[in-house]
Amino acid sequence: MGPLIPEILSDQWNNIIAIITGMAFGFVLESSGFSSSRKLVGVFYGYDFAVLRVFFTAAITASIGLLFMDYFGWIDMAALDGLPARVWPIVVGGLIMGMGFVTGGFCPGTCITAIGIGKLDGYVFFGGIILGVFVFSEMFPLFENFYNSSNLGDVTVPEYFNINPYWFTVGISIIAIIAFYATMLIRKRIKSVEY
Amino acid sequence: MKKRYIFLAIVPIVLSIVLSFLPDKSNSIDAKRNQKSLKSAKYTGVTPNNLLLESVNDNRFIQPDELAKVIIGQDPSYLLVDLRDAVQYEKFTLPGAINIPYEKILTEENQAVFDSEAYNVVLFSNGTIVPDQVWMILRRAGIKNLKVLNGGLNQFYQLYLNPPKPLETDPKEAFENYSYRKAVGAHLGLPNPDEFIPKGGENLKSNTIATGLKPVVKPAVKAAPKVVVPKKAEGGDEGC
Repeated sequence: MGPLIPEILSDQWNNIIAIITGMAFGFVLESSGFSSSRKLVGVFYGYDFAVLRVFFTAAITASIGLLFMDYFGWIDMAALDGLPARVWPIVVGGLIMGMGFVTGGFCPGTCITAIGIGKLDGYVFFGGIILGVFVFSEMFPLFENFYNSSNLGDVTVPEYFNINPYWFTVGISIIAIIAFYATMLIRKRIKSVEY
Repeated sequence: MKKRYIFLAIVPIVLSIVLSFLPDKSNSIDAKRNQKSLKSAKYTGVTPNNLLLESVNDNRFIQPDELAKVIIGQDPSYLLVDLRDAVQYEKFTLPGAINIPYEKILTEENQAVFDSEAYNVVLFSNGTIVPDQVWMILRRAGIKNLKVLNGGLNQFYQLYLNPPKPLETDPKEAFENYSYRKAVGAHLGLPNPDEFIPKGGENLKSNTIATGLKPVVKPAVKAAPKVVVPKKAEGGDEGC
């Protein structure tokens, strides 16, 4: 995390802000119903698109907010680093994660929220995460070459395609609104599920 | 309900379009920012708060004695910059100093001199005002390793031409400093203050002898109280 408002808040505050932000994130996840796996997997069956809406809204809110804060000099976006873009490993990892999501009914963050409200399946899912991490770590030498392949480095989409990040954000916002509208239409056609 | 959705849909689009049309604030030299093509200016120099702090404390000064050590030791990590005009520079300057008149400090070829991380740049002029102004300008431009000669050339030469003589009661360091300053003066080709007798010096000497007679009388007057003191001392011993 980059230094937030460096003139006012010292670096030591970063961890405290991170904890408060994390708690707020958990609260919002729970209040949008994300501790229920029925609601979460609804996006795959087409009866509930809350997941898509929440995460798309989060993405555009965060990107617009960060760009504004960077413009006002409250945060230095050039200091923010993402994970390196390893194209094929991310595709494979995303597929595995998606399968886990649709069969388990949680993603790693929401399973913690489910534990927070005392759901047993949340505990089981969390145990599965730990087991998966253990197996992956033990077998890592087998995947290591693939894991580090097709690495583009720390790069964002506008940087890679050399587009203006501001117009890219406009584009993403429009795509998000179209997606929201499209999912609304899909939801109307599919029989609603009681959960 | 539908109206609220439409409003919420318009907000991010309008905000992101506003962001795209905001004026460019970029005068940044940060390569990473340019690569990300962000608009906001990232000032790479010193922040106003820090500049204020630096300008009120004495850390930017280099003391004449320190500078003398640098000059005698021919320390290659120091670069002396004479900010006076070329005429004064021709007449005399510190050994090894280069001349950058203060009107020309922001020209491109001089920027390279100041920008170098390899040197501690010592700014000096006759006094301290001009180097202080230059220090402020260059510090705002983000240049580090700047020093200002405290007191300027005037004080520098005054100190080695006529070092203040220590009193007999002064600590040993004061005498060491005095002889060090005399040695520096000799190194810089200045006359020795002990041997140097200005015009009319003989008159001065005779004056001091004439006045020197008077104190001889005074101790005679003070001799009486001296008798009183031992008595007090005896009493003090009993108390102990």
